[in-house]
Amino acid sequence: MTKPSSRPRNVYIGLVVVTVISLAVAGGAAHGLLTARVAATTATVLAFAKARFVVLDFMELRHAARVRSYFDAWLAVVCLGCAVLLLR
Amino acid sequence: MVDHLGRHGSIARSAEHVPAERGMWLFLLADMTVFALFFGAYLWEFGSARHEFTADAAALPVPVGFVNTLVLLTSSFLVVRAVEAHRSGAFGRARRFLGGTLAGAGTFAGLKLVEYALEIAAGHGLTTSPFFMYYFVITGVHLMHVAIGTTLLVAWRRALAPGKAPYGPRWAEGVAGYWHMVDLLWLIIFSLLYIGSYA
Repeated sequence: MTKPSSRPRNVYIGLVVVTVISLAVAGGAAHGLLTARVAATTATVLAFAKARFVVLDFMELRHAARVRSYFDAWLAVVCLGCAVLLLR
Repeated sequence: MVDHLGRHGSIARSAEHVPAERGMWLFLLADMTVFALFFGAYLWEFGSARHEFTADAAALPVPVGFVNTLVLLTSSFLVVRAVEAHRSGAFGRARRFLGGTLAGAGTFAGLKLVEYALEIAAGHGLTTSPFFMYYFVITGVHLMHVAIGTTLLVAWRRALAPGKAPYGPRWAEGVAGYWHMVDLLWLIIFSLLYIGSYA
């Protein structure tokens, strides 16, 4: 049996940490440290960054250049659209 | 790219390995695009009635959404391990990882139903306000995807039972890809509906 790769475990831990940071960002808005628009947009961009790691390391598309490019394009377009709509 | 595949066999992976079938990834992108349209419609209305949406979003139990995010991330990680075990022929180990994943799926669905019950008990329903209309529709459609993914995971796990003929690695990768999509979509939903709207 091959030894499991450590990268997915590290990515998993990173995703949990960023999720906690996202909540802290929302808390920053609640305490007046950030405007609601900036906090919401920051949390959303962080969510799309997490989604990209799910694509690269959980879906295992890091080395599947063509399929990965479709997902990258989807994430970029939808993230940009969400950010624009949140900031308007 | 050279893959050696078979219903009983393992997979030899090259640097350009593409998991599952290419058509599967296109299907997932199409499914994700439907959600993207929901996100766009939600944010469009959110921007038009920011105060009303923020007030309604404040009624959502953020800790429950947070726990569900951790549950789905953990289940997604366990699926990664299940695929690795499947490829190496360690079917018993893969079954155990899938058992953990299914426990996560059950926990997510259970918490989501509790959340719905709390919202309905508080007087929030599909027709209460635009925010709750989007909340119930988006999370409801996502929950339907959780149910479909769970069915696929159960089929995968059952095929790994002793005496059964396990599916090939590509099939396992396809099911895993679907479950990761469920996780990916929830990360965005949690950010937009729970954190972003409340902030």
